[in-house]
Amino acid sequence: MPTLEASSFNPFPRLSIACIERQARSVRYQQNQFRRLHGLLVDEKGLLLQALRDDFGFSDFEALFEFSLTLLELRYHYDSLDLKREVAASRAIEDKKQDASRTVGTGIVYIMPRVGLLSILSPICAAMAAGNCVIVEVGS
Amino acid sequence: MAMLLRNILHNALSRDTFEIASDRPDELFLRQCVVVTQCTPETHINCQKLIYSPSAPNNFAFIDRTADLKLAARCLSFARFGFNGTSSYAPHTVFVHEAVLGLLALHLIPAATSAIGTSDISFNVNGTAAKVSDHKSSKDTISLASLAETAGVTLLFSSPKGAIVQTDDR
Repeated sequence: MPTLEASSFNPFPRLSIACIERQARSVRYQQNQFRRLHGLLVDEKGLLLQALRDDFGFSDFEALFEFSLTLLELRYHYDSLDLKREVAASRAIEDKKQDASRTVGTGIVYIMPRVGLLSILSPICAAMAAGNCVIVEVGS
Repeated sequence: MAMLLRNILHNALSRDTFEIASDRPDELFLRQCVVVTQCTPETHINCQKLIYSPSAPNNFAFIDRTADLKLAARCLSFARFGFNGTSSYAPHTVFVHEAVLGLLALHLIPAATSAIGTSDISFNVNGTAAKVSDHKSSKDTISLASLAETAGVTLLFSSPKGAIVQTDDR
């Protein structure tokens, strides 16, 4: 859990606050984030395919392959979200019952990816699905 | 790609729980994070937990006498030369049973040619060398040719995008 130290400069205050408030752990919030990301990826498909061809020298098939894998990865993590299971887990805690299998996000995940579409989006999706706030390092 | 992804991610994901960093934050902030890096970090990162992939993994493939050689050649070539050679999972070294070595080399040439998709290639199968085009060799193919003069090393296939070298002693 992050702590706010008054003497140090926090470059990401909104994430620190969201982490304390556990905003990223809400299943509906996560689902909404995934749906928005999926929608924008599909809308920008043409530009993404062109970028894969231009920046990495991929063929048409390879660019489409990587784009499809990215969408599959996103879908896989979206499908892993289960509101009923999360509600049951919350009720178990309220009823003072143990649930050793429950997993929650650690807080803030800082990702240093290799350049690429799938290599950037795959860890982002995994971290989001786990209920974390995410920072990804993308050079300008 | 980086700029395009920045725009997509900023527009799609809430800035409350997602952010993009151009520069690495200081150690005081990273100490409270779980750091995930896809390359082996060059310097020590003081963080809550570090998850990383080796930056230069050595991947191996093994081909024994029972292998479908045509399929193996196709899979190896696509893995190694496909996606412009950027795959981290592609094998760097292939161990081949000596009984099928010659036949595999015959299958590798067309498979590698179709995976690379260029006519600027050279190959050497069973001692017979040939070039597909008259293009000037690149610097890499020249250095590979000098490697081929080393005893026990045969340059099976070379192109500007990659090469296949056969050696009896790694």
